[in-house]
Amino acid sequence: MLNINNLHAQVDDKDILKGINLNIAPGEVHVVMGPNGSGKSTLANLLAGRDGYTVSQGEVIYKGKDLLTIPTEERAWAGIFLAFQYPVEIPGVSNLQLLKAALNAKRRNNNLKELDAFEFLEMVRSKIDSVGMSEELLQRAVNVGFSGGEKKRNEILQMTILEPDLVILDETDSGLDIDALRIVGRSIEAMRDSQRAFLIVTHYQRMLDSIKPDYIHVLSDGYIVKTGGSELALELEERGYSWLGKGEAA
Amino acid sequence: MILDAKTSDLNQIHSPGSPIKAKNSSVSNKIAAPKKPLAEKSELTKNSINNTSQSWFHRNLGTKRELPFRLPGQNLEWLQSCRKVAREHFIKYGFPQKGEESWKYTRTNLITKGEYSFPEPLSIKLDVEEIAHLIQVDKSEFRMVFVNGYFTPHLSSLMKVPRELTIKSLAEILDNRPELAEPYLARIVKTDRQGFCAINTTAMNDGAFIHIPANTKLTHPIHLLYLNYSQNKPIICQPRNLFVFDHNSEAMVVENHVSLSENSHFCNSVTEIDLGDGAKLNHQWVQNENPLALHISTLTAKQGADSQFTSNNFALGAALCRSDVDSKLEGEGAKCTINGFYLTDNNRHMDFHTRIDHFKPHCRSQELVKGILAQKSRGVFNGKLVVHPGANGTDASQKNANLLLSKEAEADSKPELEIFADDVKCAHGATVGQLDGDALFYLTSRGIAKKEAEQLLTMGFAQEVIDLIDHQPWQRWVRELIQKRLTHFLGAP
Ligand SMILES: Nc1ncnc2c1ncn2[C@@H]1O[C@H](COP(=O)(O)OP(=O)(O)OP(=O)(O)O)[C@@H](O)[C@H]1O
Ligand SMILES: [Mg+2]
Repeated sequence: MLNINNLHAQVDDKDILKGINLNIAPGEVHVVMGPNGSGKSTLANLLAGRDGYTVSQGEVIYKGKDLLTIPTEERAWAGIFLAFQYPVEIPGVSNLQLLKAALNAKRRNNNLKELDAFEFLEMVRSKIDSVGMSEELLQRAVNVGFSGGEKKRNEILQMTILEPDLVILDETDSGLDIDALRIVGRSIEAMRDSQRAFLIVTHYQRMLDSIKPDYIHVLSDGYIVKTGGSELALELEERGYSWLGKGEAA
Repeated sequence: MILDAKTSDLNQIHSPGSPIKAKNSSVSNKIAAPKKPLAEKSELTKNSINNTSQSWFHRNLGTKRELPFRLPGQNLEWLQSCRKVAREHFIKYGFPQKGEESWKYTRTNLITKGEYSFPEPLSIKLDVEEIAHLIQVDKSEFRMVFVNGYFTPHLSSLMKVPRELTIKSLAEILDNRPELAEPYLARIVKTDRQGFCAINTTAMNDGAFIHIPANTKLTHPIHLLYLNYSQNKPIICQPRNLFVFDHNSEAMVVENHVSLSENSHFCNSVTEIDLGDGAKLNHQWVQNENPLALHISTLTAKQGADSQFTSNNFALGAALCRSDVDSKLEGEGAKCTINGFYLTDNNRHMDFHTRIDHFKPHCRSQELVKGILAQKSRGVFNGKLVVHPGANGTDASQKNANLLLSKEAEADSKPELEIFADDVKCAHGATVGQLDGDALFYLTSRGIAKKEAEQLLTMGFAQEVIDLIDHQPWQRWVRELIQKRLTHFLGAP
């Protein structure tokens, strides 16, 4: 589904990603861990289509197409979804407005009938409970005045409604209380199927209690310095990152 | 729609002897003379103002004798003296001059160089259905429709006005019950060095007169709809409104200014408001005239103790729009809320000025003014707040935010605070920015196309002010109007 080959990226002439290789097949769950500032969010944002990065080498192929030339919104139509590490506050635009515009844009571009206001509300209502959000949050402006945990759940709500093929979660587990963590874990688990792939950025092994990944990658200073199975998380939890050394050596 | 406008061209009415040309040329000579600061007007500049204003006056308003209609209340001495004083003020000071601080950002050349016809009452075949989109907002509203400044009964709806209330045309009041207007008319606004207000006062003709008696609460809004229609030569319309709210009365008034033709016209409206103790006025002003229109609006309120005045102003149309909303808090505990919103594109220019005078202790005032400026347009906000000696415990806040949709758009924001009292809270802030790149990425990453995302964000920016309209149908109407205009200049998604 996704093939990242030798990806090098810069911001303001500063090298951030220094040759990433990563292949994700449908149905797989990949976890990316690594120290602060190692480039995890940069990778996630770049895949979702944020501008401001220069790709100097390498390529990203998504569903057989050169992803990096596709405009941001079209990536979403093609099934890419990024849950933001820091969800953005948008005054004056209600959550419901955002969800409806997003869902219908995607449906329209995939030749599906758009949902009318009634159908849409039905559908949203059926999903908010599962992410433990109150209906009141739907009427409010996107993320404005939301608590840290509410913002993260809101990302998960968008994910369940948009039903993406490639789900990129950037530290969605950070800042969640124990119950919320369980809810988020459950929502992800419920979405998991043989066609959908996940790229999960996290710092904590506990997220992995509810989601058993196929692969864990360690990103350090712009390189993937180690890849292993789910047992690697436990080892990292115990030993930290320092024993892995720098990328060039790996 | 069949409109048969009879306009009289005052230049033609003028006797050939009146030396318009000569005066004009002498003016240009004198303007070329050395510039002196306005504060110490030399005889020379005074003369040139004199001549310019004389000539404008003659060109566009004529003398009393030459007006194409009879001004109402001719036999009222007090009214005649108001007109006379205003006229003298205008002749003496003319229009706002270049160096004048409160007109620093706004040139009036478009208006002062213009030639206007004074419209006669239209012989008009316009029925209610043709303006349905403007009046079906709240079906139970009381409505006064003015065409080119003249009250037009057959388009209006005043049948169900309760007997104790007065909602009538000012002309009718001046002719039949002038005692209702006398204590207030031309006593709340100034004409001294207020050129636009002065010419309105000189030729005061028609407008809305609203009187709400004490302890009366009106549940339906009063809708004042001003339709401007100019055929060939631009017309000048000068609505003159007076709202008198006795103590503990309450009502909502919506003013809406629109164009019925594509041609330029000049609307110079003046509204005076007197709020008694404990009275509440919820006022909405929506100007969505055509892109060639010129619009000057002066509104001044005088507030008694514990009264509440809320004014939401939406300037969406016209090539040039200057609107002044002032309030004098003359009773303890009064509250004044002035909100504004302007939306412009092309080379259009919007100027929103407010002035709030806190004269008495424990009054509150708050202002939220937002502007969206596209292309080469320009938006100005000037908020003056004066806390007079003794107005202790004043609580005031003022916020102005501008969203620039292009690099060539310009926003000017100027708070002016003058505080001469103790224990005063005054918060103010101004911002100018572009669309938030992070927010744009957030929305597009959800599959919302860039254009639509820009629309959502821009509309979201406006939403905060729209939400302040405390009347659902009107709130919806204004939102749709703004949405439509935004779609027009951001392009349909
Ligand atoms: N727009 C930018 N401008 C300048 N530097 C940037 C920009 N975006 C990222 N960086 C830098 O790139 C490096 C990687 O940042 P990134 O956010 O990808 O790290 P991360 O691995 O997600 O860290 P964390 O675990 O703290 O979230 C950091 O040094 C960061 O300062
Ligand atoms: Mg990060």
